[in-house]
Amino acid sequence: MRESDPRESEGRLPTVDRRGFVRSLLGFSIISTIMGVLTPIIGYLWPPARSARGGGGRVLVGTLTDIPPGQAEVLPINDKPVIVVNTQDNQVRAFSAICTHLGCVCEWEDRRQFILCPCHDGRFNALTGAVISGPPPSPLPSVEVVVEDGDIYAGGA
Amino acid sequence: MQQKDVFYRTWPLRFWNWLDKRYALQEFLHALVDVPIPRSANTLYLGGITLFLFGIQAITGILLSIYYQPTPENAYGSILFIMNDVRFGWLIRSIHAWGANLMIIFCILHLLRVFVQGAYKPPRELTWMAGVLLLMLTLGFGFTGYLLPWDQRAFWATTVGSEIAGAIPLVGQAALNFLRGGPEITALTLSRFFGTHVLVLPVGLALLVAIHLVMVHQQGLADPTEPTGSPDDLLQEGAEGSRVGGSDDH
Amino acid sequence: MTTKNRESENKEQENRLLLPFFPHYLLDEVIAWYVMLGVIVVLASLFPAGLEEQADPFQTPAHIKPEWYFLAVYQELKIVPRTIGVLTPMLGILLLLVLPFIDRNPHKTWRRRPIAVGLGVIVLVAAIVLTVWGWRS
Ligand code: HEM
Ligand code: FES
Repeated sequence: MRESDPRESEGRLPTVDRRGFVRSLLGFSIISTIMGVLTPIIGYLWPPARSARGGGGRVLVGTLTDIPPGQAEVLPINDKPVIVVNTQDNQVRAFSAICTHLGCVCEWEDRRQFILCPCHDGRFNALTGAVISGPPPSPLPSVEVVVEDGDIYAGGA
Repeated sequence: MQQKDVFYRTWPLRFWNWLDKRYALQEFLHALVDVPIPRSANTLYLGGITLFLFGIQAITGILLSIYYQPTPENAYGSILFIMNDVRFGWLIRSIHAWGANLMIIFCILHLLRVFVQGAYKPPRELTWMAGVLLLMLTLGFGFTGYLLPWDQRAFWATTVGSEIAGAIPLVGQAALNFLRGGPEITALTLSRFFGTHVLVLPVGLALLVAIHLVMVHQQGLADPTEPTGSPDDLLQEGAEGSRVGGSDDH
Repeated sequence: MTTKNRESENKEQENRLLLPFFPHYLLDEVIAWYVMLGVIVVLASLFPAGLEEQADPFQTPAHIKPEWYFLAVYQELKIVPRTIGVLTPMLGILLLLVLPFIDRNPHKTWRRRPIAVGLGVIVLVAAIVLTVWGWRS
């Protein structure tokens, strides 16, 4: 054992003997080992950001012949349903197909040419995504869409 | 002495005492842990390391099963996802892969140590037999796990590996069909390998390890020094190496 | 008095012979585990698990080999007829299983077990040779 510092017995220094020192070191190393094991496990279990995969680049959804004027199709783009509309006057638009009311997936109402949510009869404008009628509180968010040589690409920046 | 008192007043210890009063845990732990080890025994810790690696495999394997998808369409993609997108996914999968190889290595080294020291001799025949089965199960883990990533190597190594079963006389074709869940490697093969790898083998191995260790516990470790092993010595050694003989002073 | 003396003498002898499992043996064991944990994390970090192309049932890649622990059987199958090739390892496992009942030699040190240890060395060397052969072929 080391010679004790006289200041310890005078009460001016807290006493730390060798055993206590080693015990603290042991405690710290056990704690740091446990943290070192738990950190990767918790990080692993934490849901990873799906958007990290491909970051939602643009996707070829088909050609103008697949979706002729007056037609629309609901397609999965970056794991989310997107409705791609080709209006009767040849304007191609795309919107998130997730209804802004309670999250049902919208469909194309062919006869009357608008986007229809089957759950509570929400109706959206095919050109702008704006609410025509029904409970949805806000328009459908639009999705980037371009037509190149008759190929339709949707999604991406 | 004073330090001890402080220690016993901490709440984990008090909780322990509370439990101990009710369930006599101290006694139970003593029975579990009071195994005298012959000084001459030298296990090189190989069995224990194998056990530890099995624990690592269990933990990392459970973690992998959280993101892995056992279908031909999704298996490969889910492994890519684990490697690239899940935090520490590459680490967990790599530890699982290394742990598999190391577990087999240490299992074989453990077998060699038992062999060289003659520790399989009476009265430890059944411990040895359980051990051989453990090695087979461990190899089974390797075989079934190898297919799961569903990459080219996995697919073709399993094709060739399971083809071997077809060469067994008489029952070859049946064995092959049973192994693959049909004549070819398909989605059925993948799901039965997955089920075997994550349920059948772990449960089997855990039970067998428990049996293996209970047998070791009841007999104590073998003393590898001479002279021993003759019928007389067998009795003598059994008494000396066992908990019963060694626990007079407890 | 004498009984007491003898008792303590016996106890001493016993103490010399036996080491408690806890904490002596267990501490060494835990240290070994700790080292193993370090080794495995370092290995996994330096040499992460790989992944090849996605499986394609219609295109066999050039060199297919099993995992290293099956290489010995793989190579053995290449050099002997198929039926013998599968039966040999199965027989080997069976013999290994019943080894304690075949090997009636009571001795434990390897020096006094020439047959068992000799055979063991032969099997081990054969397995290593076949593994290396299978690996390089
Ligand atoms: C999953 C695989 C296995 C695990 C987890 C395991 C675990 C253990 C442990 C912890 C011990 C205590 C002594 C030591 O650490 O060496 C032990 C003893 C023993 N093992 Fe294993 N073992 C396995 C496989 C095997 C194999 C493949 C064999 C041989 C074929 C075997 C035969 C024995 C025997 C005979 C003993 C008693 C040794 C003695 O009394 O000195 N075990 N095992
Ligand atoms: S969820 Fe679409 S209208 Fe209610």
